[in-house]
Amino acid sequence: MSTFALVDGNNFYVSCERVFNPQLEKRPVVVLSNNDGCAVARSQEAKALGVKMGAPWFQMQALARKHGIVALSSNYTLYADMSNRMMAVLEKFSPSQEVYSIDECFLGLDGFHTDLTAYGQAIRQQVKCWTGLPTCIGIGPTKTLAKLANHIAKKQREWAGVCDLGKLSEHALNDLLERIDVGEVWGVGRRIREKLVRLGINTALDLKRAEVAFIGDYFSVVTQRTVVELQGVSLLQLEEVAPARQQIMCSRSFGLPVTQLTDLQQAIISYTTRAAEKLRRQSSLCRAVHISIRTNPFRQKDAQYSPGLTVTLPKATCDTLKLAQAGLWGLQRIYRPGCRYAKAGVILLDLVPAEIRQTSLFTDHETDKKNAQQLMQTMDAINQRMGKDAVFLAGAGVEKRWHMKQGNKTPRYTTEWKELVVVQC
Amino acid sequence: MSAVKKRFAVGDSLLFSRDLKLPVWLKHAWLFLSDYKNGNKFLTSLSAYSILDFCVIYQDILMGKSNWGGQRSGAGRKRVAEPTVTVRVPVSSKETIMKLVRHMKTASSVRFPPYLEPLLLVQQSAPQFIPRMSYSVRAGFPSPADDYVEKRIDLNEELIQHREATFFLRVRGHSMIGAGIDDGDELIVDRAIIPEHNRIVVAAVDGELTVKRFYHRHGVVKLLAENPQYPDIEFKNEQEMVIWGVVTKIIKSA
Repeated sequence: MSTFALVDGNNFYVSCERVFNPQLEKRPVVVLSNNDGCAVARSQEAKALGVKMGAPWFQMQALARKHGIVALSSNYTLYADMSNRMMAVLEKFSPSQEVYSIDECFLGLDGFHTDLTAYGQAIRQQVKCWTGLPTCIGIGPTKTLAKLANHIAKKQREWAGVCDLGKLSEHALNDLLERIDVGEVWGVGRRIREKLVRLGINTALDLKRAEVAFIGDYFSVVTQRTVVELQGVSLLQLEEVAPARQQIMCSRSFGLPVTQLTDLQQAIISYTTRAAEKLRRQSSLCRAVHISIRTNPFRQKDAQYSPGLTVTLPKATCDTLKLAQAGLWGLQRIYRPGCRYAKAGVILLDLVPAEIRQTSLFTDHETDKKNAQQLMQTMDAINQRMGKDAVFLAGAGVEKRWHMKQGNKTPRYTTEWKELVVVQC
Repeated sequence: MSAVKKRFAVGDSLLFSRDLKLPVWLKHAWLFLSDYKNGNKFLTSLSAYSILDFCVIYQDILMGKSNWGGQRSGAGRKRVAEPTVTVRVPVSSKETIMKLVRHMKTASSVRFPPYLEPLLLVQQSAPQFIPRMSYSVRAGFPSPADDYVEKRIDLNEELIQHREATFFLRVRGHSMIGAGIDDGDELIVDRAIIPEHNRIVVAAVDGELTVKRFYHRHGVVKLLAENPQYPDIEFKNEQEMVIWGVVTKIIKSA
């Protein structure tokens, strides 16, 4: 029988901030999304005050003033580094690891003939000691059950952070599942939950006891799989190598409303640059660029306009120049003067691995292609060594008036020599 | 296998076009050899490189006299003026090599469509200058230090014991001057090391990170300053102190 553990960082972004700023300990803290829009992470204290995930910051102002909620802009550079550290520590505890998200990973624990709860505690302790990050661990015979166990470990204090469902009797397990809303089960999103509830399936136990064939009548095979996994039969394996992404998106809100085409052009070029870097990092090419712009839906007085357009490319490419050209061509077509735009986005679609590019009838000149490739490699190398945006397309703009608001961003403590933590002496 | 080897001279009886370049040669050789691959031990052990080597050896011999086509003075078998070369081959391979030689003598030069052209391994205008690929080509005298090349020192490896648990911090203040820690120095701090009595540590006291010497004796915990002008930190009830990490190295500017 398989055994999986899911290790999950508690309130991950907030915890990262707390490592370097102990003053934030025991205080309500929220981390805001890009452009300081809404809460994307909340400390336990903030959750207790009723701050909801994704709540717009401007709606929380009164509450924040009353309770002294600290709001921080997101510092993804820091979170990514801390995540890498956490994953590297966890890697030592199992021969197989699947990094599932920035703050979660699965570990394979097949054939570990030890007390898994104690082992889980050892894992938690080392992660906390080495990186300063608190975690919870769920253990179970399937990935779905491990994920559910993690939810239990997090919500129910008596587990002390480690919940091993494999150790429970069938009866005790069912007892536990009966008290969990079906929406908490991995893979059951809001829509599926609504549908399940209408069918009389309210708890995790109900779903476990559902007929697989019956579920198949109403839902996809994915939900059927969830049911089987809840019953303790492992169908989902660890994916130790992350599959290459099928699309790459870069979209952000502006710091202030934008009306000028030139500002939008700069934004589109910057976002394309970012997306193209990711594209090249996973050695893919893309065959279509989707661009979108939109006005601010919260400003109801403004004229609303949110167009998007997909531009297909004659040939798969990862050349920032070509992608930006395509993006700008599309922007030209959807831009309407007089609107106050709040956000723009670029999505690279139809990705193919770099090695299976199809040549076209009207091929570029060989040397052109080589030069472009070399240019991109050089750009990536310089930016890698000298820091992000050491070289960039001039079209991305130097001043960037539209740039994101990040009013309260903490320093990049672990990745920037000039921004190290200052310690009093 | 008996070590008897038979001499066999190739001489100038082979016919080769001067413009038959090495890649084409290789193609000839490869096509030919692949026919015999199954039957011959010598050939099955041939790697691409040794075939190349083989070709090059023979090319020395063959190409030297390869004025193919047209009239030439002094045609016909040479008597004394032209020296011949003796080549040793394993007996078991003699037949194969002779076949190859014969085959190359009679076969017309093979034309490949351009998309089948293999990568040119060497591009030489005159075949006489084709290097022997079995050696690595070295310019100049081999360095006597060759055997002693080692990786350059990497400070990350030398100074950091636990990569995941190590952080850099910058010092502000003068309370640890006695321990050689000055304002503006950078510290390497390892969180994986257990803080023991008398080590220099980073501690969180009242929400603030501070560097001090850790005193832990007979149940008493204190943080000692290393500058008489600064007080030690002693803990009263309810006051909380967390050791954040242990200082392992101090980085200073000279």
